[in-house]
Amino acid sequence: MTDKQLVVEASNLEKLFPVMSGFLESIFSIERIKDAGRISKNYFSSIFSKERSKTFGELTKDYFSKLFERREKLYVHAVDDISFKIYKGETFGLVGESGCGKSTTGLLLLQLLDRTSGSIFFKAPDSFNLTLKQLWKIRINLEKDSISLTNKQKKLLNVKKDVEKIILSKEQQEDIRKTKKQSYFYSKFLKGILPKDFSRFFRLRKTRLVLNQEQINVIRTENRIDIANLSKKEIKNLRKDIQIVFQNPYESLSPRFSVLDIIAEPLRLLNIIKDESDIEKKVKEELESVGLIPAEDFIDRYPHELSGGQRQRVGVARAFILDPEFIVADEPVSMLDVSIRVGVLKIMRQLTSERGTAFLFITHDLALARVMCDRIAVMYLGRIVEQGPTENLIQKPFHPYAKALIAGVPKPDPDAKRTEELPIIGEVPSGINVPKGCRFHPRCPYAIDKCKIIDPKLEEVEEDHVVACIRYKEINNM
Amino acid sequence: MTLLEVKNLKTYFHTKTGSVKAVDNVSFKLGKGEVLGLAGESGCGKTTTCLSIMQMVDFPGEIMEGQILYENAFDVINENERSLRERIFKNKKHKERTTNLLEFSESEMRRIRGNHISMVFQGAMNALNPVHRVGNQILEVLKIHEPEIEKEEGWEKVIDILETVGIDSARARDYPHQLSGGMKQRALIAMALVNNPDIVIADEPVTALDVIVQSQVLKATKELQSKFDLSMIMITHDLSVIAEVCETLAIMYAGKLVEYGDLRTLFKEPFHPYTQALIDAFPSITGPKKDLYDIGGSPPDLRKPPSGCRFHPRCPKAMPICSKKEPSNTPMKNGYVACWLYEEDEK
Repeated sequence: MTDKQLVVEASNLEKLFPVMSGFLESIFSIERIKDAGRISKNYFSSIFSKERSKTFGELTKDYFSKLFERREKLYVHAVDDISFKIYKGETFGLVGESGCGKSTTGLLLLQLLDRTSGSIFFKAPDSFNLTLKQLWKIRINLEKDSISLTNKQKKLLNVKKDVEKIILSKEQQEDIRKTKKQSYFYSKFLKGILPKDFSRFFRLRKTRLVLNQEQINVIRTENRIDIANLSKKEIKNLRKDIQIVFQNPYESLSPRFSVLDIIAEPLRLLNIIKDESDIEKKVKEELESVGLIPAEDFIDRYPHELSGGQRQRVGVARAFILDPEFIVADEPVSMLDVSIRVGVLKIMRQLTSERGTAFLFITHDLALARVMCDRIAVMYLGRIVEQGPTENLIQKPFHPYAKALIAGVPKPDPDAKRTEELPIIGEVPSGINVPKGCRFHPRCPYAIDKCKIIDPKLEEVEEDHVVACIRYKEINNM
Repeated sequence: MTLLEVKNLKTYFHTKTGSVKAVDNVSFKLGKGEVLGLAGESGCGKTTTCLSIMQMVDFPGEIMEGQILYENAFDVINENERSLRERIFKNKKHKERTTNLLEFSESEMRRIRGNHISMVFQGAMNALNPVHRVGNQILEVLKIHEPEIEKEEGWEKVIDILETVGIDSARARDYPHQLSGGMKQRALIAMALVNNPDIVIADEPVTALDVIVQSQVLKATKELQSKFDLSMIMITHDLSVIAEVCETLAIMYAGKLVEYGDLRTLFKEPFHPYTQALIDAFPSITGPKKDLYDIGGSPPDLRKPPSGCRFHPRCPKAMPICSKKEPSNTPMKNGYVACWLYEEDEK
């Protein structure tokens, strides 16, 4: 479909957490001190023996090199090379057991964690200012009426390859001329006070080049930016377009803030609405849209005066108040009772469809994902093992893990025997020593020797439906 | 054979702003080898009911009235009476006793807890002590009820019970943080079973677990239940857990038992609108995709419960009489329901 508008794309995203608990151990491990001790014994014996094999300097060097010998660093492979796309108005589900990296993925997309490698492309906001300082950073040549770029710079800025120059409008030229004049003055004026480099810094800071939409389109291929490369300030501006609904409404709302303050905080932080009465009006509207009616009753309450379901509704209102393009919901209803869940889920579904928000729904319950999502990706140990449209995936799963997850879903039916159907045993192995070959093979009922060697890649089985398993054809009698 | 019977139990919490009627007039029976599921939203009094059975309700809570009749309670009484008679009341005849646990003294209750009626606590992540080895924690429970047991013999028993719940004996020397969530939950179940109790009360045993681990733990629970012929009370808000393990179902709402009966009949045709709503609110993975049913509203404040039937403000089938008079328990197929819809049919 061509009318789908891409909002977020993760490509080859990877996140490794260094194992910090082993840090001191790795330096001062007992064996090493013993080893080092042995050297020191040699040292003493060598002092007292007549034939000294090593000098004092050599011995101490040995001692310390043994002590501080670098051990191989350990990492938890939380997210390992995953790619997916989320379109406008679509709800994308990430499903998997705890420890499979689904929450980490959510945090990476929000830039609450720095990625190790890979890129996260986000639809660029409508006005994107390139400051000259930024341009200077990548050493762009600023000519009288245009910006010319080298190939490397084009790559950095995601500029289409055939673009040679970005033509500046007359106003922009005028701007630059003015600021140049100004900065010339500054540089002359400050020359006596500051060293040369500083005056250059001043000159640049005063200049700001605002590109119009056309020029941005030229610069950004597909009109998107890699948010992993942005600075903290730019991310802050981007926050109005990406938001999160947290898992636990008992911990994610500050007990000292009233409902008004909690929901108005994004507005105040980003200075979007300045007038307090306007803020209150907007908050009331938002409260009503999440079903906390009448809003006047709730606006002055504190979180402890709300029930679990109401708290999570406040959390949802806070995420939606800026009308963001993209929202991550990390297990938003897992702390709530079954009977209260439905209300919160319905509100979220309604708001996303009304406002066309791209939604990432993280859950371990496939039945919930079925209700909420348009497409689902099943994750296992940092990898996506199967991805496809919701109904296709649930009616006809290909990967053995997806099958197990579906069989494991609780059913409110005394005749359904999920415990007897469950084919897999054990629990998710640790992300530090990831199994070689297919990561699922130690628990897979269909595993053969080949699975221990070959790391399967995602293959397209049906339209939009991909699976990473070398035996999917045999397993599913295809 | 009825092993445990709860009659008209009332447990209130006395707060500054009025007493919270957490459990109000609850009665049910538990047979030998029966698994009873106690379901309801959070705050409806499921846990308080079970804490009342164990008499572990803390201040400001108080068991106001009611009876908890435990069939094998005389095991404890006789032992105690004998010693008492021998020591103090040698010539006097001791006051006649009933099997009502509420009349028991604290020292007698200590013999009951863990030994006759034991509990698997909510939240496996927090219920184990992080600074003691798992095996030692289980051994402690054993030693309290059998103080004269030898250490080696006790340790053998601990390893036995850990293997029955599916934990490798080598893990007995591990600390809780070294175990995964599912294993911690299994260790807690082992702790509840180590003294061969008659009744096990499991409070949300699988709520914090992933679906796959959840079904593994449930499978183990089911096997153990049939192996030891245990009577169990399973507290949960998740009807699917009950559907899998239990035989009888009791639904609680706002401190009241609204429906009680055989599990299969109740799931096929639930009588109370609340039971119906709970079942409909459950997303299903099989069959055609259907929209979720939203009960709407939230559970009432138990300091000032609604008049009449407590569910009437949220009930889709509410009638004028519902807000005026409280419905009584109407007997239905293998159980009863407290709803005006059926009481009128009877009349």
